[in-house]
Parts: sequence; structure tokens; C-alpha cells
Amino acid sequence: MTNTDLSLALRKRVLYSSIGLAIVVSAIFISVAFNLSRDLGQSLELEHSNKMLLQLTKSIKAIVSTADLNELSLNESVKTELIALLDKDVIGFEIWVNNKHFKLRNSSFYAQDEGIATAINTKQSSYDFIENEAEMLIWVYENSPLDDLSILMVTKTHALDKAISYVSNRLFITAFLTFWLTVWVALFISALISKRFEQSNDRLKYLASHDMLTGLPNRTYLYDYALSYFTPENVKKHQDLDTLFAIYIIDLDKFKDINDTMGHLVGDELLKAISRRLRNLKEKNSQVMRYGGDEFVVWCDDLNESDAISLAEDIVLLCRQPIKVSNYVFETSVSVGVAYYPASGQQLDDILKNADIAMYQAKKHRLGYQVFQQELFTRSEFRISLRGQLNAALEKRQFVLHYQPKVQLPENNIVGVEALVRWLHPKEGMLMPNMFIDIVEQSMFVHEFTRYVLLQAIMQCREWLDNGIELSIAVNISPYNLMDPELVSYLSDLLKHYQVPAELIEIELTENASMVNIDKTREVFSQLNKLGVKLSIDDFGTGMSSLAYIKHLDVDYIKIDRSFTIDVVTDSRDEAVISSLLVLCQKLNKLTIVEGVETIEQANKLASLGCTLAQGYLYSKPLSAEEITHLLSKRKAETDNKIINIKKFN
Amino acid sequence: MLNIKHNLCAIDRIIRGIIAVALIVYVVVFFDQIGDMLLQISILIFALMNLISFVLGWCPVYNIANINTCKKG
Repeated sequence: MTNTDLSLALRKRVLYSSIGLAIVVSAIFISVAFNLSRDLGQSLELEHSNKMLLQLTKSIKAIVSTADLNELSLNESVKTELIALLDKDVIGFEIWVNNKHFKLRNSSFYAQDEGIATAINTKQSSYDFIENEAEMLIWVYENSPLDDLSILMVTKTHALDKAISYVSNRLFITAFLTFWLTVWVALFISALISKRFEQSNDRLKYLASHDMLTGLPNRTYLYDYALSYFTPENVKKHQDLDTLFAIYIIDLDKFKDINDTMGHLVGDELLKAISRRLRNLKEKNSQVMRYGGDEFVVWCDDLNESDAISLAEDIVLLCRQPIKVSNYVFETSVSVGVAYYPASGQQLDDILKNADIAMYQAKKHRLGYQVFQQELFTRSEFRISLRGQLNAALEKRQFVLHYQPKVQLPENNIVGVEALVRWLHPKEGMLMPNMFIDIVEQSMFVHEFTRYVLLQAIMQCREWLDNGIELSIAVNISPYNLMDPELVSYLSDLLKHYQVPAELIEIELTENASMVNIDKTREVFSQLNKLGVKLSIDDFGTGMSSLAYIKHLDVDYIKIDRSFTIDVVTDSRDEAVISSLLVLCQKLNKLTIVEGVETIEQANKLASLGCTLAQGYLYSKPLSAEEITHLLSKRKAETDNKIINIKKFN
Repeated sequence: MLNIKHNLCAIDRIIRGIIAVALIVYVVVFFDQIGDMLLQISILIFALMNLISFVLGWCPVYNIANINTCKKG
């Protein structure tokens, strides 16, 4: 039932109730007034009749003595004299004297009246009204007003008729006017109530479908709108005209940080400012909605693909402009995911889900915007599936370590290995770390995972030691592990338990990760240093670290990122960077390892620059525990202790 | 401000015209029988309002109540 139908039904109900009430009140009013006028009239008639009867009785007494009454029927002159006393309205006048009955005037109108007969028979003084077709009569029977004398008088009424007539006329007119007035008032009140009802309903509808903070339509509105949008006509329009509508999911980058640091009030103001900007999008057919939290949705119809991309660019640019909120200037950025109908889904839920996938892709890679492609969905679905299997994989020990050697230049002696995790997935086969590490980091298993890797590495180290191979193993940890208060003690317990020298374990942390919370990194590194494990900064040169931080972080190794190695032979700038870093690290008393060495030319060049440690496919790809053990044993036999322990090298 | 737009259909207007004339005639002919001055004036006012509605095709009560008998459906 629509709002209008409800309002109309309410109005009708109020109107009919008011009219009904008016009719009932008028009926009661008329009935009471009519009865009142009738009672009043009857009372007057009775009073009049009694007075008349008293007068007649006195007159009869004056005319005849008691003794003469016996002779009344014989004395015509007395009878005539008495009749002359009677009013013309008196149609019946009968007297009883000494059991004799005299009718001075009588009529058939009352001859059959039972009330009169009863009064006469019982000799009880009484009165009543007789209503016949033509007129109203009143009879009064008075027993013994004089000794042995009873009188019955029947009179036509006038006051009663007149009173009823007057009252009826006026009551009718009054009732008519009252009724009409009531109808008008009822109409007015019903309109007023209906209007209020509609206003309340509209307000409730607005509250339910709009976000109070920004005033934008909300998710409920979006679904309602979609419900009304997916009509056969619109579906056909998109099929025939080859147009599309696009849904953009817009998510503010780092909004949580703003909320946490500046407070929710500032965060709210920022959301309002963003919503105002989005409202001003140039695209005419666009609608902006707040999807929830810091997410907005733009629905844009009748687009072609280039328009859709252009709008996505507009949104990104529009939101990048600095925003002043509460004396702070924010340089915000947004990530936008775009999905088209019908290409990206036939139902709103599918389109939203796909736009969301695209948005997360854009956020992850800082792309600004990303249009949904099926490949993204497949990847996303796959990742979600992996996320659900993490716990089981840990329990079933599906994660295994592969080891990539680190060599000393120019002899290429293996001086250590870097442990790299592989997921031996029962269905998907061997999965590389780039396919699951970020899933692990975002999950609740990140600490458990790192501890598992450390355990595997230390157990391997123990096994090698038992076989006479003393080789350090580098383990990568996640920046989230720095927050694990038990990490250092866990590592210490493991080392003690397996009796592995601490210096054979190397902890690697990427440059970016170590800079996230420099104080925390320094604190944990300090504890690890005390434990005796080696520390290194991975992927150095690609992050945003300040050299001051490097100075303060007490690490043993700096691993120069592979991006500088790739073109070191041909690009003098890469050469300059590497040689400068080598000098810098030497001055800071830190060892450098160059990653990503794949060709002999690169190795030679790096050796010529003074690089002493390298890692890459030129020397070996990451190998399974069995393979690397086999390789190490072989090398050990060949070079007879030419394996240089990193400890010794150090 | 009252927005005087036709809100009475032809039948509505005719009924109001008939009622207005009938009431005026009633007051004039049965002036004595009605007797009460207040009633006489009330009927005349009521008749006059109906007459105005008849002439203008517009009813103030309908206007307030947002009713329009001109519209169909």
C-alpha cells in the first residue's frame, strides 16, 4: 500500500467517523430536545386541564347544590348551564354522582380508551394523552373533587402541538446546519491529519533512506532504486542501445587514520566535505549515495565506456583536491572501483561486489580507480578461498621452506640461505609467497605463521648442524610480527631447545616495514641483537626510509633491492646507486648483499664495484630442503670446507 | 493566500446552486415559521456560501482539504 493510499484511507476513515459522530450526536440532541419539548407541552397541558377542571368543579358547586345533583338529568336548565361552562376544546365531560353517570359532552375519540376505563373502574384519579390521527387529546379523571362526585374531562391539546411543531422545525434546521458544518470540519480535520500523516511518513521514509550525516541517500535507497530500475524496459534499453550504467564504489584512503588521530568529529566533517564534492559531479545522470562508513557509491546511467572511465578520473581528481576541515587541510585520496551493467553483473549485488573487488584492487596498487574485470573476480575469489584454508594449512603443515643460497663473490661460495615459504596446496599445487603472504598478514594467523616458519628454519639448521653443515638461515618476518610481544622469547626458547647458535638465524624485515614504526622496530631489533641473531633490512633502496633511520637501526646486513641489479651493467645510474650504497654501508659498518643477480655480467660488474655478497638465480633458484641439503653436501665434499660460514665471514 | 482554482465539477456546482436557492426560498417563504433570527441568518450565510461556490466553481473547504471533484480517478 502506497503512502497516498494510506493517507486516503485515513482521510476516509476520519471523514466517515466524523459524519457518523455528527449523525449520532444530532440524533441524541434531537431526541432529547423533542422529548423535552413534548414533556414540557404535556406538563403545560396537564396544568391547564387541572386548572380548567378545578374551575369547572367550582362552577358546578356554585350552580348546583349536592342535593340537586340527583336531579341533574331531569333538570335541563341546570344541564344547559353546566354545558355552557365548558370550553369548545372540551370534547368529553362526564360526571358520576351517587352511582349515577351523566354525560354532559362525549365523543367517540376516547370511548375505547383503556386508560380511561381503568381509571373509572378503579376510581383512581388519573390522566393521560390520547393520540389519534387528527389531534392529541388529554383526559383527566378526578375522583371525588366534591363529595360523591367524580369527573372525567377530555380536552383537545394545543400547547403541546405548537411546542412540538416549533421545536421540530428549529431542530431540523439546526441539525441540518450542524451536520453540514460537521462535514466541513471533518473534511478540514481529515485533511489536516492526513497532511501530518504524510509529513511524518515522508520524514520517516527520508530517515530510512538517507544518511543523516551527509544527507546523501543511503544503502537502503540504493537497493530500492535498483529494484525500481531493473525493469524490462531498462534492461532492453541497455541491450538495444548498447549503453551501460556504471556503479562506482568510492573508498577514502587512510580515513581510519584520520578518525583515530583527529577524532570522529573531524572525520565526519571530512565525509561531509567529500559528499559535497561528489554531489557536484558534472555527469548529469549520476546519483551519489553513502554506502556506509567511508564508502560512497555513484550510480551513473546512460554511459559509454569512455564516459565511464572519464567519470572515474573526475572522481579521483575531485577528491584529491585539498580539503580544509576544522582548521586542518587534508590532502585526501580515494580508491574507486567501477563495475558496469550488464557486463559486470546482472543483479545489483553482483555489480556492487565486483565494484568492491575493483576498488580493493585500486587501493592495493594505489591506482586511483580500477574497472572490474573478470580476472579480478577470479583472483579475488581464489584469495578468499585461500584465506579460509589458512588454519587448516598450518595444522596440516602444508607450508614448506625453500632455500635460496647467498654467495660470496667472486668465488661464489655459499655463505648462507634465505628461507622462502611455499604453500603445497593439495589442489592448486605449489603456491608462491606473493599469492598468500598478504592474506596471512591480514589474518589472525600472522604470528602463528611466522613462528611456524622460524620453527621450520631452526629445525633445518639443527639438521644441517647434525650433518656437519654450519649455515645461516635468513627468515623474513612481517612488520605485524614486531607487535608480537612473545616473538623474541619464542625465538630464544627455540634456539635453546634445538641448541642452534643464535648467529645462524638471520631476521629480515623489508625497508618499508621497518619504517612503519621505527621506535618499535628499534626496540625489537635491540632485543633480537641481545639474543645474538643477525638482522637485515630487505629490499633496501625502494622504500621511503631516511638515512638517519639506517644509522640508528642496529642491523648487520643491508640487502640492496633487485631493481638496481637488473640494469647495473647498462645503466650507469644503477651502478652509481649500488656503488654509493656499498660505500655507505661500509662506512656504517654493515654488510651488503645484492639481490636479483641473474647473469654473469651482473655478477662481474657487482664484483668490480666491490660487492662481496650476492643472491640470485645465477647461483641458484630457491631449492627444497632436500635439494639444498644435497647441494650443500656436494659442495662441502668438493670444496672441503670452502663453505664460508657467515659468522666467520663476519 | 487562497488559491482560487476551480475545484468543483459541474454536478457539484449544480447541487450547491440548487441547495443555495432552495434555502433562500425557504427562509423567505417560511420566515415566521423558522422564527429564530440566529437560525435565519445561519441558513442565509450557508446559502450564500453555496451560492458563491456555485458561481466561482471553487469551494474553500475543498481547497483546505485538498479535494478536487474536477479531477477524475
